[in-house]
Amino acid sequence: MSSPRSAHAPLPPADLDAIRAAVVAVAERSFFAFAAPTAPDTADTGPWYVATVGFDGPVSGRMTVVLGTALARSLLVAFLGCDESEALDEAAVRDLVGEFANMACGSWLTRTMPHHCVDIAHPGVELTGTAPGAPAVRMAVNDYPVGVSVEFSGAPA
Amino acid sequence: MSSDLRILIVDDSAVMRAMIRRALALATGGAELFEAANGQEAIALLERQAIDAVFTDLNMPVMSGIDLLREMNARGWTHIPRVIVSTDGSDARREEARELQVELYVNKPFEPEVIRDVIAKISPRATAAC
Repeated sequence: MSSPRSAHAPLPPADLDAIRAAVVAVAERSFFAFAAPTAPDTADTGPWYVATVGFDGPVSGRMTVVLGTALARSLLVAFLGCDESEALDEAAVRDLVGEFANMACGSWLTRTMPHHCVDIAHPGVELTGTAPGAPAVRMAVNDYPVGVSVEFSGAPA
Repeated sequence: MSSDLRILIVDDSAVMRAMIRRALALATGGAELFEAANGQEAIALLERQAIDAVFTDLNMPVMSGIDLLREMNARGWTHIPRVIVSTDGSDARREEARELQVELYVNKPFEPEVIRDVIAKISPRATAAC
């Protein structure tokens, strides 16, 4: 079992690598997307979907995944094999973003705590005009930026 | 034949149910598909509809997948093949599933072709249980 996590300590390199691997697995297996472990050269002006997934087990906390609306809609089309017009259903897009974050969180937890049961909460998804502060991991999915952060519910450092 | 199957998909995400539905339609060539958003809805449907196989998520509100499986066991519905489809791929959760007599486990994220392989495993069992 890993050592107790501080709520404010930066993530160790092993955790950051596991997050990148999780996002790549999610993007490529379920969304037929290309994922790169570094931020893209092109910027995305948003708006942004911010998905938050809580987890509770030997360690507890939450993962936050941030991605832009254009990427979210293209992922929905790929996930369902639907028409572009169907990707304008806001409820479906939010559901998709939440599921993306849910799978990323679950995949990361399975990699970092493979021998423990960890409960994952239903994801919450918000749409915002401004991307939240600097994520721990910046990646590119189909050349769009994706940010991932993890906060632990631990004792302050 | 897998096209004669009646399959229940249980997941709180409508998008995920649609994705699994699409994968099952391709894998079975015409199985009758039913949906539930949580374990409680699944039990209600199982009470009124004959089902040949259940594909269930684990982390769901109202009634979780584990509680659904426990309830199915308590009601003697262990003859229905159950497939867990979950982001939780931990050894501990897989062992918990085995203790509930569930052997088939699909880890999210998954390629749609995985569903075809699962159908090939459950189709003879589901047909025999009818």
